[in-house]
Amino acid sequence: MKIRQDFVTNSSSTSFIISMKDDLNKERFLKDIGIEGPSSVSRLFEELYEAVEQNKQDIIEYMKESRTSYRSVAEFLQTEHYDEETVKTIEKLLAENRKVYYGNLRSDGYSAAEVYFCSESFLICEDNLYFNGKIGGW
Amino acid sequence: MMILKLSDGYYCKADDNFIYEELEKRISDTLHLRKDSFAEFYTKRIFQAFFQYARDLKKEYLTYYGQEYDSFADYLYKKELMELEHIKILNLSERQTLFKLNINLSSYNADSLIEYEDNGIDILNQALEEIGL
Repeated sequence: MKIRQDFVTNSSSTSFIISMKDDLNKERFLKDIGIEGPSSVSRLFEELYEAVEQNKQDIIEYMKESRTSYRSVAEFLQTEHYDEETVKTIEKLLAENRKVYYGNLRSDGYSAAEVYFCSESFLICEDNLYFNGKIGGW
Repeated sequence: MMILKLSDGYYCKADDNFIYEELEKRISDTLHLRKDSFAEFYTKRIFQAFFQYARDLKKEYLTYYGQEYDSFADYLYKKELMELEHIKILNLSERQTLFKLNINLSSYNADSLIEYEDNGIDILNQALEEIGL
């Protein structure tokens, strides 16, 4: 059980977009982000993957379930303050029939990695993995 | 080499010839991280946050306070106001130093990695052990 020992402020969440060339799974994710063998720090990145896995939703489904009705993915992403380059990239990935997931990392999340990466700003844009946490920079 | 939490903050016990740049150089090979990858970048970023503004207390003692205090342990107790019990736990040898880590000076969120979870500090210490400095 995790117990916060310092003061607790309002929690925040920041969004991410992730898409893999093949189905999203932990082994592939770890390999694609650069873990090439047994590593003590892999636990940290496993926790990041687990947070993504727990909080992700197919972006199209996410839009459908949203209270706001969006006419397109582009409109949704623009509303979420993503830039034009990101919008184009996501449209391209969807046109290639790749699964694109959207979700949030929370500052009161289940793991230290989720809390840490929640306030980082990052982008991986490679053939096998697209992982956008650019909106995450506080 | 080991990071410890002692009442008022975080410290790192290390050989007194420790050089942070050497640690960074070894990260990719010893931790099996691909060069220029996300994992390598963030592993370095985290260690940088821990060591960027770390104070080498032994170096400060030898440079400025060597004549004023009887020993490094005496300096830690009287000048750095560390508990005697903690100095005993540290069990520093003649060839070791103590870094006082100032994580919050360089990173808004790196301390969450060790404060949010019990095993966070273990992950970093295991990594330091594998790096072998």
